[in-house]
Amino acid sequence: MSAEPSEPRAGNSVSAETMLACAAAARARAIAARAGQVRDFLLPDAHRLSEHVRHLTLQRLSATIDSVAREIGEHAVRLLERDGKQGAAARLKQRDTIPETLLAAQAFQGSGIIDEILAATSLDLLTDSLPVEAKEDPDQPSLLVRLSQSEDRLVATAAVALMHADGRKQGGVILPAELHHRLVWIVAAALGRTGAGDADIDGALIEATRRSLAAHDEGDRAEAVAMRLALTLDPTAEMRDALMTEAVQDRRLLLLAALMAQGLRIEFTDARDLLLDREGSGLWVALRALDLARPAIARIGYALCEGDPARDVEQFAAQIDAIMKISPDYARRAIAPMRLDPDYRQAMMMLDIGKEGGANDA
Amino acid sequence: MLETALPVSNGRVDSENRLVEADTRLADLNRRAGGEPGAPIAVPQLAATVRLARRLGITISRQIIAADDDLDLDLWVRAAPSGDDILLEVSGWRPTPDWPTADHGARREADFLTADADWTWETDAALCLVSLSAKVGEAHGIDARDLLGQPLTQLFVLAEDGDGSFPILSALASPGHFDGQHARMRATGETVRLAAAPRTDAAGRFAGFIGAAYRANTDDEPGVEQGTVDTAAEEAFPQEFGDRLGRALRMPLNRIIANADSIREEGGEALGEAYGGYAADIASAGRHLLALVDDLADLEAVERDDFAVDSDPLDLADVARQAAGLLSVRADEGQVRIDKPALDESLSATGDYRRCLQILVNLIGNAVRYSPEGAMVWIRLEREGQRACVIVADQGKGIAAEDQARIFEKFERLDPSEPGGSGLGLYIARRLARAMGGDIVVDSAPGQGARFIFTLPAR
Repeated sequence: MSAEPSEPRAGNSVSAETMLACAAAARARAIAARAGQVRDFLLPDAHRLSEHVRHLTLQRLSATIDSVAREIGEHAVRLLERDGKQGAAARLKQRDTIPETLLAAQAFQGSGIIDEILAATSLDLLTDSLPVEAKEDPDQPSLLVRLSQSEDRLVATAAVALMHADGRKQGGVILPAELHHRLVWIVAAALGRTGAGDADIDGALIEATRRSLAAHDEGDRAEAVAMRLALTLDPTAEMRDALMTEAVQDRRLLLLAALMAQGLRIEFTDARDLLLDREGSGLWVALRALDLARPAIARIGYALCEGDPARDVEQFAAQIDAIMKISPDYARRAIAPMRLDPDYRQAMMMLDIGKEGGANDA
Repeated sequence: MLETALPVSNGRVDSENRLVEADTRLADLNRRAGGEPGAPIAVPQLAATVRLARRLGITISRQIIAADDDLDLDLWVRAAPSGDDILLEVSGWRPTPDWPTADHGARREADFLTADADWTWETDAALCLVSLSAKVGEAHGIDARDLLGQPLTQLFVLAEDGDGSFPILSALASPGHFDGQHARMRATGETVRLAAAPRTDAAGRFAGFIGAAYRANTDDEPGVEQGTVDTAAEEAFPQEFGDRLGRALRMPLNRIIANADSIREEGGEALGEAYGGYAADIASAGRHLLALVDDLADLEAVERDDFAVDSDPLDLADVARQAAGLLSVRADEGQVRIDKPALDESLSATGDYRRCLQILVNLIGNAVRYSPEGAMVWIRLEREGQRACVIVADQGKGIAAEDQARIFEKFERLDPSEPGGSGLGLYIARRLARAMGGDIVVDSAPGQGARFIFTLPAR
């Protein structure tokens, strides 16, 4: 008869428990991994991440984590050294590779951090693949350059800030405050683990993290800067038509999304999601809600189809008459739920999913 | 290299998609595709572009490939609605290259230019700055925000080259890429060298530059002050060409090779034998390309006036043993044996260890490659007065007397049909040997193998 796991036998009980705990954890990991594999298997090809997007997203996530880890880690080391705790400082200096540790632990599951980086990366890649369109007048400067020369100082400053933010896309991502808050604490916890529960290290990391959070300015984000410009411009319907057409011709999708968000009074992230949706019907409704004329919608649709091989330009051309038949009033009513508080919408969505789940179970 | 101006051919298509007017070149293309004047347009890709412009009601600019007899032509097409008609502008008219380069050509060119730039810049068509990399701040202490939206000339004072012209202006006229545009930073007075690729739309019209800036080193500065560029050096290779080539290509090639090797090793049964073979081919082609990159980078280095090598005491016997060891796997594959110097042998000389190893790997590698199965490659050491000699001898087919000078020339290969090799290995090896105060000579006769003698100053 085999020994009971809890049977006390000369110092073996601890390792048996550890082994059981390890086995349980391994089983949980295996179940989670299998669930992931099944989801991946069932995913239609159109929804599967391309290697390019996957690679760039990972690169940006790693760069973002690295920069936070460096900032917090180095400051915490300085605090420890200041307080004469050289041993703890030395231990903290020999930290593991944080991005790999966190990814392996699936620490970002459900945090929204990867969703944001993935969406920002996808928009950047789509922007880069849009067709280049030269102006009819070769001497005419591009849209942002003209806006940067505007007599309205606020417009000019915001246009320069957007060109500046757009040029900083390499490397890590500046996250919205709420996501940054989550990321920073996750990274701090990972750094704390390397200190193996040393109270001095924990204290220094917490202080460094609070300092980092206080210094974070989400207003520096390219998305926020684009929104600032759109809100400052506050265009009339006619101006918006021209601005959106030129934004897509100049390959400034951040500005295009911001102009959509400003005009529809929806969140920037919702406007971005509409642009990224390859099926596109939500986008066409949104553009009609803005009362965009046919040439502007044709230009935007054509550019997106040319930039993304998964979008079918012939299908779009076949749809455009139907798109134009949607009345702006009808389109605005269809868009209205997007104007509700995002948390409220999220909660409604959860209820709907729950209802569907319940129906399935029955 | 500037591209030549592109001829534009105009046409008009009516509401029934009939080509009712066309310049000769366009009419001929349509006729060869089976069309005729006044009949629907017969080139399928042109017809599709016209249809799209009509349905969307906007101007469409597209790059298309159209079959023309037994050629494929790269065409830049602009289809603009005008009332019920569509006006066509067709330019380009170039045969499609065997290797597809049409897509993202400018982007790739720009990636290459900017791979090792100190910082990068971009303009729109009006030459106003629309992007400046953050590194401009680190390099020159400039805040990019002060310059974005401003004309390029607010950032740089451009200098003429030796011919009294501005490379950037020539590139703008074509449009094409440029390199070697010297300039001074207006804010700080520092000198920089500029290069850029044009961004063009699908109709070939200029939409801006994607540019790189390189901080001038001391060699560049006299050129800038005198408003000239070092044309002699540029004839052979643009400055830092090798470095740039290396940085741009080495990492992707290494990744290709590593991934192909993994596919071959791990794909196993899941992929099938043929695919494992393809992966092996990819890895092998990748290694070949990597060797070419290394050769070109070395070539650029050895041809520079300021090329220098270390002058250290070294044991040539030890270097020869190392080189032979590196090639043992390849020798085994070819069933060739290498008779290397015994462990107790030594030969003191003066030179650069890494470069000597490179030379001997090249000489022994050639000997292995040209040896028949079951043959032997001998490595012998000799001292002749003040010279230390390593002799690499093989049992290959030998080299005729009239070819013996040629093999040391650039890009020369005795049998161009033979796969592999850039024709640079021996040229680089001899340049390296001479830079260390030594030489490489060959002694051979057809059918009697070859003896390469590498000499260095003895110590």
